[in-house]
Amino acid sequence: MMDNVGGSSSNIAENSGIIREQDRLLPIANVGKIMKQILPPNAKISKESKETMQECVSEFISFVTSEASEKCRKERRKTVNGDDICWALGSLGFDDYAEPLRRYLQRYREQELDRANNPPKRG
Amino acid sequence: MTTSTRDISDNEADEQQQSEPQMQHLSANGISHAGIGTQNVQYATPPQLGTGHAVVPPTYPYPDPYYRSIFAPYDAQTYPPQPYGGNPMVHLQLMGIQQAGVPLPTDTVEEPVFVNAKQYHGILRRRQSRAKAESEKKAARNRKPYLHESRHLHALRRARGCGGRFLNSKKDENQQDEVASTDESQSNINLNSDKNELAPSDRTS
Repeated sequence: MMDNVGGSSSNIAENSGIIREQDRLLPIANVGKIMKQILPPNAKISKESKETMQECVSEFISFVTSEASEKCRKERRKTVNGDDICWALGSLGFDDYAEPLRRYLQRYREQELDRANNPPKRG
Repeated sequence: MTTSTRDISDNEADEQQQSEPQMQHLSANGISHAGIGTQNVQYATPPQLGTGHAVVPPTYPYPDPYYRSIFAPYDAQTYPPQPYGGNPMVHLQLMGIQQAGVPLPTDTVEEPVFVNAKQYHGILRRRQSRAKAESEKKAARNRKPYLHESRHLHALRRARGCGGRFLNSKKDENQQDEVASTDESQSNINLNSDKNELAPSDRTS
């Protein structure tokens, strides 16, 4: 009974085109965990801080993605890939973040190659 | 000072226990499941210096003018396209002279806000995107206290101890190992994650 009500509510929300909070922002628990990693173990983070950081990080993601998407639009490409994100960070002046992200992207692609060459035995 | 800090921590812990499991569920399963709350629950974050009964302002105060310029389109109406047509020409000339910052046009802030020249066009583009989303009313501004009605009712029915914390037999027995222990008997993964996050904090009672 309750599940059906929730399902119909979800359909209504999607039909009206409203962007819900959980679609627009990162999950607040994950944001809190990331904030806690840099703090001492006994530190406390207020709910207001997490909500403010939710807004900031979501806006930053849209900011960088918008810059990368503009580059793809000019080059008539439809897919935004990792290189475009690294380029966008450099283009916006976040050079200190672009370089570590390029190294992360390189290691990520190496892991993908290893996974493709060595499929798990279960599969 | 200590008493007010405990009060704030207690209120925040109570709110976190009710709302965070739903967000965890969203991130874990990846399925968006919106629920209608039959009860109109008043949901507000207490201010830092106030008590639990203080009135919370409806919007976040951002004293820094940089933040005010970024979030200004949420309060203002849709920007007319005309002011953007002339301003970039003027500021492009300034970029050749001054590298420290470029004055950003703002309708709500009196003083000009200087931003990184590389980010100037990006900020203008994001402003238009936010204004467009705001005009179409696609962004829901009000935050719901919970996502799922059944989980909210379950949290209401759970037994609570002094200070409003949930009662947990394992935590009461092993308070010394509270930081390292993991409640495996808890069937709900989200609630377990919530308890793990709350473990480092000190109990108020």
